Amino acid sequence: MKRIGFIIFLIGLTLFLNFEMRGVWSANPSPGFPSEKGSIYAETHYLFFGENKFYYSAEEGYKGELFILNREQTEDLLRTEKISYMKKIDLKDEGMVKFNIKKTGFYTFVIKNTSGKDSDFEYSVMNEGDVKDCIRRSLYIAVLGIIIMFTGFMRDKRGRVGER
Amino acid sequence: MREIMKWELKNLLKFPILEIIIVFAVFQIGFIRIIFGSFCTIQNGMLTISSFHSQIGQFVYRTVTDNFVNSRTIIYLLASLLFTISFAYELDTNLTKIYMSYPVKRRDYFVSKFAGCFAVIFLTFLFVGIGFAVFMDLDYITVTALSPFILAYALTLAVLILFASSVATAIAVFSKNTSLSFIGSFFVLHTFDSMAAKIKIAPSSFLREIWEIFFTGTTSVKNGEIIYHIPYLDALKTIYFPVIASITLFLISFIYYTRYFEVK
Repeated sequence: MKRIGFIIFLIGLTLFLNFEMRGVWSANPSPGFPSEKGSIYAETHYLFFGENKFYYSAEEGYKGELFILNREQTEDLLRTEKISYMKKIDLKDEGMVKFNIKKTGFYTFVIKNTSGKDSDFEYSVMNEGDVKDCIRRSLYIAVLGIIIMFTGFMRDKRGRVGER
Repeated sequence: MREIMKWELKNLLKFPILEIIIVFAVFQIGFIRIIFGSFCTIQNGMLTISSFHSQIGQFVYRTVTDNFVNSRTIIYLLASLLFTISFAYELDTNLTKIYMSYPVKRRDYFVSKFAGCFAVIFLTFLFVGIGFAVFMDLDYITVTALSPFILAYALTLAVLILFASSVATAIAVFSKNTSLSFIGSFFVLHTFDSMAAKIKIAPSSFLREIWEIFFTGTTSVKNGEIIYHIPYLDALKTIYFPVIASITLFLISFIYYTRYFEVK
């Protein structure tokens, strides 16, 4: 038990060092897509915790909506073709919008063209790469390891006292 | 044979060898370096949920396998260390002589040692890979822990570890010396990897090809289901050379160890 605890502690510590010192890196290039009037386009991304910047460009006069979906909402979209969302942001011509993500993971962007004309649409996502939630999770693993190790020590100690 | 395997595993899993392997595996695989953050497009005709899940699995194991391929030097180091401990060190410290004094067949002894070392490295990296895939997004735990792309990751692991293991075994058996075996195996594996990049049995070449075949192949959508066009024949051609080379090296070491090897 002590050894299992120590191994879990080491795993947590190594993950912590990886996230804290190496950081994370992600490139989100999108080749762009033809956005037909009234159509929806969806793409799933791996996004990091905190503030994300969504840069987009479309033709002049373009109007659209960006929906951000989590797992349940994405599966709901696939099942029922109805959009339920975490966040909704209005898009116009070109620009940048910011949104916050509370947990590093997979999210789906749904881009809906609400303007009366077709347009090419390009976008990319930027993030600071500050994955506080992953660091916190790795620390939880390390603490869990320490608790298991401590339980093992206590059990051994009690066993020895019992033997005496 | 089961008894010898137990001895061997007991020897290899004692403190701190397992801990060192786990730390190296987590350090090399457990970080996020994603080349393409987007992976699943839902446009013309909706996807089924199972197709969406298989895309998640492909994306996650693509990242894990890429991390593993980029950190193969660690596999060389660990293979050199374990096979040196298992073969050369035991010979240096006369442990082999003691084992041989028992009614143990050399064939079983050799195979148990090889299989033990291979299994320890392979299983540690496999479980660390799956564990990190789950860690990437806990919401998708059911998807990532059961994805069929685990098999592609396991194949990449198995081919490289088999190659490193057979080279390290051959050097350990023929050198009969702890330091020469450790430094020699690592040097040969590392040098071969960096200098022979264009040869088909060079790890840098076949690992990248396996990765491309399974993770960057073309796909098409039919009735909402994603169909992966994986060229299995190409995959077979890619692993054919390294596997044949590994088996040949293994057989040379095996024949030498069971027929001509003198335990002094």
